[in-house]
Amino acid sequence: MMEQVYFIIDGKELILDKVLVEFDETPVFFVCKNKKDYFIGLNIDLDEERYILTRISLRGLSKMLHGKITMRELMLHSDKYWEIMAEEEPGEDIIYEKSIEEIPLTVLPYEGAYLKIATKDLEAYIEEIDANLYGEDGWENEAVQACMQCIEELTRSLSDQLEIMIQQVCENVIKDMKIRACCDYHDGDYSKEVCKTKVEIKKACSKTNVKLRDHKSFPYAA
Amino acid sequence: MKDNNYLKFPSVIRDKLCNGEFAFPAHTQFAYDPILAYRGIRRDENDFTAVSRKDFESHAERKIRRRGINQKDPHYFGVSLFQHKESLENALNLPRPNKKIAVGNVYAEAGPAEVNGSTGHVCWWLYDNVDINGFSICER
Repeated sequence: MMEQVYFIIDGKELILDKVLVEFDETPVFFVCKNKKDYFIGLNIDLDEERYILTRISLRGLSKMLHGKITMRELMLHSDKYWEIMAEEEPGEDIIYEKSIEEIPLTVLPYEGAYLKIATKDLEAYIEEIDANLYGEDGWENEAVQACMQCIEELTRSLSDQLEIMIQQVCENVIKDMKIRACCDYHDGDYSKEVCKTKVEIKKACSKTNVKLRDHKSFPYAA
Repeated sequence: MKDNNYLKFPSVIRDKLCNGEFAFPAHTQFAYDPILAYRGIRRDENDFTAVSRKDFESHAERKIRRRGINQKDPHYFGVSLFQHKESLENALNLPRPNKKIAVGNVYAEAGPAEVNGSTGHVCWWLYDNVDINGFSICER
């Protein structure tokens, strides 16, 4: 069955993923998704075709389907929502993006209302959502992805710092070689230059938050 | 379906049946035992007006076009009911529009029906001028 584009939000097509509640042959509480995110949609006016849409996490969706949070709580688990007046085609819809604080509570599912799962079809959907949420090792895919992102950022940061440090070491090696070339190999003059360079390196390393283990291992300490 | 039965349908279905634009889905039943089912109907909180044929008009009869409704889909010409009351109780938890649940038997003499065992959804293609008196409003 061809996927049906239901809305276009921020230039991205949202397809209808699952009708959770139907009334008057119309989806009134349903799940939409794009390639990256899930959304919950609520038809707040059948005749005028007005909708409220909020972005949700897979974890939140799973919680609602398992009866751990209410339909209203799922919708409010966001910092913003979209109010949509549907036109002939999704691309023509009139869409307003608003802060979640502005959401009219009177049109939301009643407080304390949990979604009842009455059919095999919805039970199968719960399994599908849980399979997407949890990887084969039992970890939440969203959490794993967040950790991976942190690790990538940390690696990038360390890599940048290491690059700076290496660059400075190289510069100091070159400086040292110049000193050797320019100075008489009189202990006093050469030692002064070495000490001065060591101080400069320490200052540079402290900026990159790198601790020196053993300065004797640096070339100019020979 | 017997040839003369198509005359019993509302004109929106009858005309399309005649010119081949409309075909019932493969699992449609024309002879079946009564099916207990529930339908969501629009009623204000203190309105207990009896259920009538008007509560069972299809989108095609009302000439409604809505997002997600395919006018070439045969279900556009039928009405939805559910075998599980809980499916409609979820709708009662959504404020708009004001609604109630009607319960009764879907029966063959009033029109063919299709049942989806997985979703509990029943699509009923009602003949014109049929008796819906067997349906009543559920108490919440």
